[in-house]
Amino acid sequence: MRRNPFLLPVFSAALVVLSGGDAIAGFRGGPAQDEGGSSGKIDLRILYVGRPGSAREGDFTSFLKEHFAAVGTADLLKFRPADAKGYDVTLLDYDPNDEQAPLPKLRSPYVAATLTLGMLGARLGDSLKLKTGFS
Amino acid sequence: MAEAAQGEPIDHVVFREPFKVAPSFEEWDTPQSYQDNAGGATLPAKVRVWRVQATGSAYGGVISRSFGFLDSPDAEILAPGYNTEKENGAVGVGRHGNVLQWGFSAPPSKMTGPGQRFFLNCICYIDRFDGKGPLVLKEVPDRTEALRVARLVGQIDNPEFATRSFDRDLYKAYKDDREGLVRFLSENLELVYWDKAFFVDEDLRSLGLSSNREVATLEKLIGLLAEGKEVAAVRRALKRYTTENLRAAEQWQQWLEASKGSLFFSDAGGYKFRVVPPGYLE
Repeated sequence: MRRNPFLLPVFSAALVVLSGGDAIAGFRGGPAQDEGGSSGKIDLRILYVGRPGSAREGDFTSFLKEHFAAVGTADLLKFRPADAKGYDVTLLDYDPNDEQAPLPKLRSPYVAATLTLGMLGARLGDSLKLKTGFS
Repeated sequence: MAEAAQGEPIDHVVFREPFKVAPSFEEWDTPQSYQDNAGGATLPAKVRVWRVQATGSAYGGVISRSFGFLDSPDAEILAPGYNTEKENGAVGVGRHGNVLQWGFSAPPSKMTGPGQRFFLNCICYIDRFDGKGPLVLKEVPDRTEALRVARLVGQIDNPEFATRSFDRDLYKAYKDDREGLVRFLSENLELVYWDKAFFVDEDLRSLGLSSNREVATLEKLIGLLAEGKEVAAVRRALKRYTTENLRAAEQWQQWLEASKGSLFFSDAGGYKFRVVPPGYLE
């Protein structure tokens, strides 16, 4: 059962500092077992959607792979929501300063867990009539 | 937006799990743009910020407007963004339904330690909202926009600016009196609504009601309907502020009894009372 985001949960487990510890057990994004049998990564599958082969994509994916059980990539210009099947969270990104990046076609109702970034995210927010848009 | 979030982090799981964000604070000058907005005159000379990224650039990303952001329970402001062009409290990182907008521009290698931890926590947090789309869409401006627009009347070189922004009767009454218009709207802000232009609800005023977004107003309207009083004005108001198409007072009573604990009013979503679906907030 997902937690109520409007309540303030009380946890008895110790909190984690990024530099060393394991994620909190019991949290949905808790430790995962990778192929080598060692734990430590957050048990979520992340899809990063951006510009394939770009330095920015590499920057994000190398960082995400340090922390999440599985990380995939996709091309924003070709992205369809069905591409995110099998992933828990989709990140939608492009050049942060590019006002002309084409927007992916996200037909309403679009309800998948999504983190949008920067200028693209605000423009997407406007196109989806979300409060996270510019206006 | 600059490279920093503004203010103390709110007491929220996104600043604690799975990583403790632990930001380092600085004091930056309060931007002039904050002082130009409502409430700006009372701001201190400095505001507390914490760097989310460190690229060395003055540009740190984009913000969303805070006006009306919190008028539905499907939206949260997770971190205001320090900015020099818009209002104090504009949204650097916020959520609406299943979408979390990270307004900052830099990739992880250019984020600060707290920024990276906050970013990771945001990814984990939005996972909770998979399948939970927004309850309302941002359709129209919230009521505080009426005040901002009123302050610009006479300053915008477009003769249709004011006539298209306000109800014709309202505009006629204050055509040459910008200060009077601002004052009238301020005094009646609880009765402002948008229907292709801004109106002050004369139906509710005539009924002696002071707000269009309080549940008590619905109770009063339905009570008047049950007594057969001011029926035309009551029906107009109920149609204006709900999505229901009921007729008899008893039907309205039943609807209100069943809905009362789950009602919210959203300006941005169309100046309507709506019901939170069962289980949505779990």
